[in-house]
Amino acid sequence: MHAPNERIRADSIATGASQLSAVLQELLELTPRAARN
Amino acid sequence: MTDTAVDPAAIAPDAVALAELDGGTGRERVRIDWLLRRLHDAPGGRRVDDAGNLVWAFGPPPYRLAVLVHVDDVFGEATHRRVTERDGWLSGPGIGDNAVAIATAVAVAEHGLGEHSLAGRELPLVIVFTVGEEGLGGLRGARHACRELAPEAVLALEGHGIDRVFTDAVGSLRVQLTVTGPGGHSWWDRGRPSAVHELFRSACQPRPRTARPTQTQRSPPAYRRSPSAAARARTCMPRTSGSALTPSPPAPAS
Repeated sequence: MHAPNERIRADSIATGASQLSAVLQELLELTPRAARN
Repeated sequence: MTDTAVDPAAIAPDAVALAELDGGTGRERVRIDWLLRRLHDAPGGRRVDDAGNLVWAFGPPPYRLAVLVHVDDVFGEATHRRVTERDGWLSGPGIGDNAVAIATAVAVAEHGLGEHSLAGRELPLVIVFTVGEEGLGGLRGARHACRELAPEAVLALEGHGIDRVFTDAVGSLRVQLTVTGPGGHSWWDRGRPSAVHELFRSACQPRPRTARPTQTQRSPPAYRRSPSAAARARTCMPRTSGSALTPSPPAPAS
């Protein structure tokens, strides 16, 4: 990974963005601030 | 789960711009300043903390979740930072580790949180663009952020693993050793223990095997069962008698 010619596929970015969005939404929706207060 | 409005094609330009900026460990400020400009009109509040991290908060503490994204890379100032795009691949120093992760975090926070992004509603979420992750940085920024923000959960974002989720890992432990001995020069000090020889001899000795962490075997973490830093340091101390070529006895079990 630590190489001057490291590379990453554009479609993995799409998957990652989708997963990150889903994880954030799930975590935040599971524990809404109102419920914790 | 809500559909997202994140366009992956819009992430690449930010990733390329970041990767082409200097940002080796200890020289992250250029990238932090770029992010401050990039996020000028974004929702939430931003500040640079005492470690040099950029903290992007979407509400007041306590935080349910902190997303940590390191901005430094391993490359020196002399590195030619040029990213190319060809046949669906982005290629160049630091593009995957960790420019893509930074750009993805920005895009998702801006557009991927559904109505929360658009309304700018307060969330128990903080995104921290951290310094000092690589090499001798020793996770300096991440440690500071965790101490200061005390989130309930942490998600570390890495570009090369951005399409996978890992729930377990080994710890990171760094020690600094100073090894001295009476030997050294091949002529004048022949027959006397050399610090270099003893250091390598100690490093090559078998270590106790540690159990592989699993989902159900997390406490205590595997890295805590390995020999302590002090024990490892002791095994690396050179002996002050005997020849440097004499095999050393096995290290004491810890």
